[in-house]
Amino acid sequence: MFAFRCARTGLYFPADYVEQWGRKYGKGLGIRPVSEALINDYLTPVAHCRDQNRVMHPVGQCYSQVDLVQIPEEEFRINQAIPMEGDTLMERRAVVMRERQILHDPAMRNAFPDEYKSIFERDEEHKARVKEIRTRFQSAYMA
Amino acid sequence: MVVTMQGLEAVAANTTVQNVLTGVRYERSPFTAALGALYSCGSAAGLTAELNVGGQSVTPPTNVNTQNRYPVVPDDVLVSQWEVLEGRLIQVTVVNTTGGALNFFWRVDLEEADVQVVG
Repeated sequence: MFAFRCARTGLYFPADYVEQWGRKYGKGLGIRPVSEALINDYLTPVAHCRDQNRVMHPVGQCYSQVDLVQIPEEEFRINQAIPMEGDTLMERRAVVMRERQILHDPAMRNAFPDEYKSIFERDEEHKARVKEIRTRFQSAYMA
Repeated sequence: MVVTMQGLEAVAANTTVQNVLTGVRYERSPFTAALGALYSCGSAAGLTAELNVGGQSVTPPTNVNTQNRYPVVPDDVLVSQWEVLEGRLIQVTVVNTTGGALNFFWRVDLEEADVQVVG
């Protein structure tokens, strides 16, 4: 299947991403279609609040280029970006971004060691799954 | 004369920052009379900003754009041409309505007004 891939995060957007720009996707992000995926701002210190599950570095829109790619449907399913439109209060995306921070930022890792273990295991499984799908797709494509 | 303040405030999930200018040099206007301009950008959708000058509301809570960079003048103006007298507090309140932490980029310009204030 065809999809648009964010050049920075590697996440996939549906094939109608550019066509529906400004309507279904990218509201408030300007006239040119760019990635609406979020990125972590590790340079800004962690923003503290009473809820420990919300302690994290700030996040922001990445505004990266999107490229049309052909990928297996299975890979799209597991690496699809959460659309901004269906998550305006960022309930789903914030959880994912915080997990990435715990995985990649040593300070966050030390602050939440138990969470880190389970996130690390899940991430390794995810990577192995993606690798397997890609290998299968490439060998089928080459043959 | 014009004075400028610019900064970045990380706003935690579902929280409010009462005044992003707290502790900044021109949090209170240094001029007898001045005209101000507030520029703002958010890192992603879900921030609202509100301007109070000397205890008077200039804007109600207003959505902030999502450019994820420091404000560009004049593109990212939220409100300009507001008056402020000497010693009055400028208060920019920011609310994060989302479940994730966001950055608020702000800039305040104060231009000395060429008027004489009586009384």
